[in-house]
Amino acid sequence: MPQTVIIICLILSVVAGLVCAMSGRLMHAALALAGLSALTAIILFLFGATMAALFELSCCVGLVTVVLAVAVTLTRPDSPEPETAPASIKRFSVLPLLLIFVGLMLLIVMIFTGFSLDPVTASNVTAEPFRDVFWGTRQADILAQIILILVGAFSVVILFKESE
Amino acid sequence: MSASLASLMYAFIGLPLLAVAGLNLAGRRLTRRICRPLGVFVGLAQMAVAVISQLLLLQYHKSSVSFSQFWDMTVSDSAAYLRVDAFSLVALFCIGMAVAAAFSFKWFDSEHNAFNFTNMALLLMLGLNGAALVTDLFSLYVFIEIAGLCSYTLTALYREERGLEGGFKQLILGALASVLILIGLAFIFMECGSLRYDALALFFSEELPLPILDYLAFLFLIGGFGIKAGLVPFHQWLPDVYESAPAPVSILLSGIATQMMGTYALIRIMSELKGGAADPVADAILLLLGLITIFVGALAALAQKDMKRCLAYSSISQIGYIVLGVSCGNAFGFIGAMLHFFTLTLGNTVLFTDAAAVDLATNTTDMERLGGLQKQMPLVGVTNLIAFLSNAGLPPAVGFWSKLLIIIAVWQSGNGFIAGLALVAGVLTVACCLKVQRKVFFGPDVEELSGVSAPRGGVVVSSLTLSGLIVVAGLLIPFLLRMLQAQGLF
Amino acid sequence: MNVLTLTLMSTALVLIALGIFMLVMTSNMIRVVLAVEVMMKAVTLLLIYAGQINGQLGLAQTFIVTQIVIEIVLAAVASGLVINIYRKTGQRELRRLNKLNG
Repeated sequence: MPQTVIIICLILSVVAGLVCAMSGRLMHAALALAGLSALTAIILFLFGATMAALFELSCCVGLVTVVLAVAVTLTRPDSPEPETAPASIKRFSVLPLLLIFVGLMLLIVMIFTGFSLDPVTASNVTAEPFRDVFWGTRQADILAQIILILVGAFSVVILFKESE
Repeated sequence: MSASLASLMYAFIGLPLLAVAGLNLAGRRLTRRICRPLGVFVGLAQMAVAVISQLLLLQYHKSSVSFSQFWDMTVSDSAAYLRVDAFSLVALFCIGMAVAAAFSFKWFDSEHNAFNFTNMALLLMLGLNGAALVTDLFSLYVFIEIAGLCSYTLTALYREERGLEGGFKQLILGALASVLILIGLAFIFMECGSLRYDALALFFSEELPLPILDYLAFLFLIGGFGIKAGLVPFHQWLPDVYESAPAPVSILLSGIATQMMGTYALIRIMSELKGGAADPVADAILLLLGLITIFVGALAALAQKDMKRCLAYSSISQIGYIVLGVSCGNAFGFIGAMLHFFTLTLGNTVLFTDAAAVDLATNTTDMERLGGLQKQMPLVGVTNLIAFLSNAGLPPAVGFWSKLLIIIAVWQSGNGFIAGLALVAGVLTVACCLKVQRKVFFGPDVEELSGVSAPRGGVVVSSLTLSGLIVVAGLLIPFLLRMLQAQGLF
Repeated sequence: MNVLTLTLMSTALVLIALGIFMLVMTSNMIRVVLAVEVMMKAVTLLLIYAGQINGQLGLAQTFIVTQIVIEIVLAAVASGLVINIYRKTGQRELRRLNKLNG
């Protein structure tokens, strides 16, 4: 049952990606990206990755969308451009067909080559919960995340602060 | 003993981190004045720690030291996730050297810019140090991302049009490269179940043929790291960025950042996964791309009119040599590639320092408008010549040995014709060197440059020291090779 | 042949193709950032599926969490650059930035 829901969410995510690529107004594209992130979070949750789903929802849907919306708003020209309804969908009108073609080609190639992913059956591989992995063996990643946050903070300061 | 050795290694992470913390937490007047000496100190300290660590490693006859949790030093090797071995120490030494050189000159007119540059450069140094220390493919990717993000902001440091445009173009290609690397990592993770170097070495040492996903994964990894390294045909962003970045930033980027992000990662991946044994397709692709890069870089360098762009294309050509060495898959190849990494770092740092000195003194880097600077800046001309000839592979500079090792490696792996071609391409680099020397330093005097005076102070010290290091290292390399041979590596 | 495997791999690769198409065909700088974000979502899907079939959900979640932090910082830096370019030059299109030749 969750498998069907996952497949539906995957198809919806492609639709969201299409809306993001094809929409004429930047704000709609940013919101479509938020929708794509939300669908990814749902898929993550359905796979059982609850912590990652939480992060995806709070950070990507929340934070990245706000940042991109701020960027869109701050780069908007003062006089709004006339944007007619047909133009907003006509941007890349060839894109859905192209994507369906790419998808079908991939499916045909995968079925033709008998593609299957066999899970690794190593005896010493145990499924550890997230907290043990994250705080235990991936401490280099924790250090990296601290440095990343410092980089982000300093970048924003450098890019926006006027010198005194 | 290994505990004391391991505690020394924490300096690689601790020193820049403490420097950043101290710089930002101390009082404003104090920090604004000590930015530059702090940067030089951190760079020199890292070089010293790298050399001491290598001597300690040799003394205790260990090939590598692992250290793990920051609050528990008694963890066994299997859980260790930071490791230092010979390749890492060479890389760490080069990082320290490039950072010290970038801080050695009074570039900035305002303290505000100097403060911003110091923060970002120290964080860049942290990212590159981390990339040299980790034992896991994903952590390597994350630290390279850190370095990339720092370099985008550093390119745009002055917030003027050229820098911003260069930074944004670099960001687009860097982000695309990151996506390609991640796809490769995801495919390998699907097949193997872990991304640690030792688990992957075990996985790839099994018999061929590998699952199709692994071949695709190597293709994506080569594509992604190739963009970051500046391999042809992904090299378009490199000359633009080197030209548009501020002077010390271009020293950092060309001297160490592009090398670490691209070629060091390729060396690390292929040597850890025993690339030659596992994936002949990847080796063939790297061989082809390396050869094309050598020639395209050297030929394009000859056609440039701007000094910095000429240097950028010449360094792209040398990156091709490193990739050629990686593609061989034998010990000669990896050691030659790492040695050429060292050569390129030294050479680029000196070359771009000199270019920045010329730029600062004459306000232009257009070679058509420069000339006859040898009388006014003799030291700059001499160091430029030494570094260029080292890149071209002339004895007794260290570049001669690194190119020799790479060509021997290519010969040993059965591609004699390609080895000959690589040898020929060295001539093109010599031609480019002579062209730059003739146009900028020798040649007829230009009247409007008559008032130009030689640079003084830190830049002279750093470029002289590094040029001296090029020659001294070149003289010492035979002893090093003999020592490695005694250890049974050849 | 597992339907979920096929669907997920196709979806991820289709999203990546969409991202590359958007990256190549657009010249608005913010759309470029959106294209990169779309591609990173696709890679998130690949990573979690890799974790699920290997039983290494914890490890895959660690990868994804770190990747999300990278995405956030990338979006912040990119937005900062775009806003600064707009303020300095009034341009939002990539192809009109031609200070750098070549």
